[in-house]
Amino acid sequence: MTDLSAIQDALLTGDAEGVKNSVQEAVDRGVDADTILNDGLISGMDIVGEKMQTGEMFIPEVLMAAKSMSEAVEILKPFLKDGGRNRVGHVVIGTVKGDLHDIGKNLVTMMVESAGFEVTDLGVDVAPETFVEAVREKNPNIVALSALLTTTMPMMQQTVDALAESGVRDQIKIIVGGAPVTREFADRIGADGYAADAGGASKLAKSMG
Amino acid sequence: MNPESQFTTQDNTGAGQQENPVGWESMLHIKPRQRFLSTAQIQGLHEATLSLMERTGFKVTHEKAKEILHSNGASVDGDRVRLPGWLVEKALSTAPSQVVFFDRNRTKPVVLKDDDTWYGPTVDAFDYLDPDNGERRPFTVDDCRKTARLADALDNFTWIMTIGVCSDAPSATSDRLIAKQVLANSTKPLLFCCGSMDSMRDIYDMGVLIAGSEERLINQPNIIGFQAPISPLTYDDALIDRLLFAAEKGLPQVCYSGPQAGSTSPATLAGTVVQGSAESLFGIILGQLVNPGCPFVYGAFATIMDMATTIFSYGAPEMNIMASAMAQLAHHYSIPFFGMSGCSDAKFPDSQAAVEATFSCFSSSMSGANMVHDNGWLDHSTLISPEYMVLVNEVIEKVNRYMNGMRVDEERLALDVIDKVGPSGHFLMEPHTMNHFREVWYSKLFDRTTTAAWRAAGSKQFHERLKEHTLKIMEHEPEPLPKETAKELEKMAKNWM
Repeated sequence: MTDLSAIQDALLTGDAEGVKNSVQEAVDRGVDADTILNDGLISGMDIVGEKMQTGEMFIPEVLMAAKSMSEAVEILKPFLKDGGRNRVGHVVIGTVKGDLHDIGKNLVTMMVESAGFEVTDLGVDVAPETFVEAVREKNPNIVALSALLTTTMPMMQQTVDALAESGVRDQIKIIVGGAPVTREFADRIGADGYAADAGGASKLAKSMG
Repeated sequence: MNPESQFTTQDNTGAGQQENPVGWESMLHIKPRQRFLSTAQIQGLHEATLSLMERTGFKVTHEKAKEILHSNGASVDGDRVRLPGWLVEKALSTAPSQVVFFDRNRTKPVVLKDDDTWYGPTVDAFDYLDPDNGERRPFTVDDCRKTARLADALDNFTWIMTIGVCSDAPSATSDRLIAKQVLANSTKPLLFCCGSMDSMRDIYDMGVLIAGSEERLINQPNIIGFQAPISPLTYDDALIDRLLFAAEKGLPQVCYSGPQAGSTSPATLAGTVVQGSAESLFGIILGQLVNPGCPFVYGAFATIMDMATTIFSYGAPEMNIMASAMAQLAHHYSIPFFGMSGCSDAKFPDSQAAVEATFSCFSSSMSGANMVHDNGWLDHSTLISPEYMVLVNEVIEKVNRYMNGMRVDEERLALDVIDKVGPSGHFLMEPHTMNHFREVWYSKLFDRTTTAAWRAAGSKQFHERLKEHTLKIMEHEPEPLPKETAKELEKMAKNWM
């Protein structure tokens, strides 16, 4: 059993330099890169997630931990079996067309990244056909749709429909979220999952990864 | 702001503080404050008070007190004592503007001064609302133990009272028994009420025992006396005995009448304020004449009589108007003010009780009341509820956060970080956010979760969470008295029987 607790300790305090140094040390000691990633960084982020749920850590601290992790992953990439691609999964995310709000979508992006996913962020005001193109190009396993306005919620339906009509629906899971979005709405429009907050979205993505 | 109870923020060590001299920093730290009365209104109330004291005066039957007052210039006509204005102003000039008392270990001073507000519980509730089963029943000596421990655990209760009247103890000694309970089950300073002079001496002796010496008790008191003259304008002999005893010793005491607008004072608020103020000042003046400089806290429980039911209201907005006016008079006299808050006419710690507590706590802090009691009292002063104490503790914490205001300086104006992030960016990953986001107050009780998380946690409504939270806090174990002291206290108690 390799001791990776130094990595986790640094991760929990959002100490990016500390995380990078500990990861480099482990690499130098000859520890397998995939072990460092899975048992050090990703399991460390799981602890971060738990601490956020119990109120011990707050969002900015979680995001600092996530940022520390992404920087450390860069060190590991050359040593990872698949070169660091599609480690846990790949999420294409965006705020649907007509909606310019992005803070919720950004939070989900950062949380999902911190869970080890590769994320393609399409930004805001994303048309259904742009989502379809991104799925064809990037080959993700999850598409995440965000909306803040009740007036743009119907665009979620249109996006789901466009993905179905283009023939890529079976290769992806679609998850939706945003303040006015409910589980009932998600079911109605034919999405595969719904989460009430960014932490929930990260868990949901993992359960589908 | 009360430094013990306020929510601690990173502000205390924040950037910029070291570079600024204290005065400059305080100019940048904006705190809310209410000015209830105009200068002319203060003057009007003060002159009316002097006029009442000189024209109507007080009923006093205590011979020694009459002699003291007479020899200092008061007119004494049978049982009626009238004070000339010059005597009032001269005597009040020696009353200290700061009153300080301590916890049992003499490490946490309560400093009554300026606009600082220190909250505490109550006294003399008849009934207890049991958080275990929701039943209401007569208050017992053991309930006094439980509520003292609870008040000991609640951070925003910075001092303590005896909370209830015990139904299961002989009435002649129950005031001492509950004072002993509280002194043994909390380290917080005790504001005590008692009946006879025997009680007063016995409680004082307990204070001396716990302090280790009489000198230490007086220099750093952890007990404070409480005298309640009878409205209108009556000082009974037992009260004067206790008042003179505390004044001669130099023990801090609160002089606090309870004028009830429409029955024991005029139906008008200004008249009730004037009468309540005169009633409190009279005791303070008597104390100053026997021992100039002895510490007093001024105030009156001025509220209305509800003319539909005859109850003495603990939730009337008029109560808060009169308290705010009197707090400002206290500032005018430079004597700390004794206020009331966190109390209600409701029968449960329900929505009405929460509204009334929030209103009175907010009003008390905004008006700069110094020592504010009755937190946790329900059903117009008949019922104590541990759950309500916990609810009010949270209300006080929220009010304290509000009263701590905000800083306006370069670091907090944050123009650099706004410029760095720019339009369409976000602040979540900025070091500036990391440095300051914890300055926000988080409640242990009030819910901000998402509906999904709330459902996942059992869909608990506020009263259910309040009950759970209360029962958990009630497991608190207070710091015990030293064994020898506890033994001595028990010996003392045997002599009371």
